Amino acid sequence: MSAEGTNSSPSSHPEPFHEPPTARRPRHVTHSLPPVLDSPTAGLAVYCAMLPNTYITSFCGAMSGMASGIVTCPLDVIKTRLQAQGSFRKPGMNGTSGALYHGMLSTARTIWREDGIRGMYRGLGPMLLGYLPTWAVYMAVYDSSRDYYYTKMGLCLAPVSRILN
Amino acid sequence: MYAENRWFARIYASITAGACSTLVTNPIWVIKTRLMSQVGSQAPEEARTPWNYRSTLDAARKMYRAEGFRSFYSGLAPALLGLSHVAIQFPLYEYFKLQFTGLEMGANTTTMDSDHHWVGILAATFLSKICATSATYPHEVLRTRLQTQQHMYPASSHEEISFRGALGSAHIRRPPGASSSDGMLNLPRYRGMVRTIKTMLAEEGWRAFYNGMGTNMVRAVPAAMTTMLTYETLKTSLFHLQVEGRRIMEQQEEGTYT
Repeated sequence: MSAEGTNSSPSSHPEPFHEPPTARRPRHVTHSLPPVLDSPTAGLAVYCAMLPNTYITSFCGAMSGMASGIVTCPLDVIKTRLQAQGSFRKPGMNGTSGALYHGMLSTARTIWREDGIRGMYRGLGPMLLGYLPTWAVYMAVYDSSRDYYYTKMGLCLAPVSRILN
Repeated sequence: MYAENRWFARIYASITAGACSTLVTNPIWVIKTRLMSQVGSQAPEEARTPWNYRSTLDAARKMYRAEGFRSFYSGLAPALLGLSHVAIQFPLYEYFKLQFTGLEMGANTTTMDSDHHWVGILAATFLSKICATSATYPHEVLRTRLQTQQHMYPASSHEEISFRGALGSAHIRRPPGASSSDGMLNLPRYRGMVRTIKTMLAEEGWRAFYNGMGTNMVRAVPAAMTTMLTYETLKTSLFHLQVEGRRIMEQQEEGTYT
């Protein structure tokens, strides 16, 4: 156990804090607040402030999974085309004489010319179905279990790096 | 000493998170692989898969009825072995990100401007992903060989034909990395980890363990960079939104909200 772990001097220097202190506010307090929020942004801000940290991390994780799915889908389509073209060849054929695609860039060009954007994003749906929960669960569990192991090992939640001071 | 503990905490956290996400998503990947490996109804009898599913839900229902709950978790053990990848990637990412930006993964601060961290995030992801891929790629090659029992290189040799049959059984050919050992019929060529490694070393040399790593990285590195940048950026904006929301709530409680 270190003095660092107890984190008893909040006023000595500004520390980055890891979790919003009022993140786990009980529900009934919400309803007692007067509905004076004029702009939708303010309403959203208050709503976000009351969400548990796990919701935030899993939402961010899901969105990051979606983004990576959108980026990798064309690459996967290209890779699959390049690899699959061999499998429809007859067993006796040798060499690359009958190959349609050579290299990633020209394959991309061919797919784009033939099918456009739809060709590039073939199979995006099932891919997103896999990536979204993968990253949502990963990020949420990583974030909370890292905090758990930090506290278990007697470390403070957020390390104050040398750069900050 | 504390820095060491931090490394361990991050490694444990990566493994915990990876295990949870694998347990949740394994059924989805199994169903996806089975649906994708189905061939058309015009295909010859030999090439057809032993199953015929119409949709994702149909596949889930039929799998549960015919093979029970366990079928959703086929290929789980090798997938859990693959957790070594995230156990390298994320602790390294944390380390590099802390060096470049002064903040941990997902951490934010109100005291400094964290909007210009994207270069650091991208660099940290790039380095950590390359390290993790180089370290775990041989294992993935091994896993693919064991699962699919096929040579990726050289393609269409006689050996390949003799082990797979001359008839083009299209559903057995799967790209490397498409992970699932979902009960497909393959003639065993490699048996056991050690014997497989020996066979591969004798036949193809150590380079075989790095076959296709370049192509793999062309896909994996941009994917990881997108994932991490989106996650961190979104997390930062939501953090700022939360700070704003708490300020409004405090003002409301004091009755000074305008």
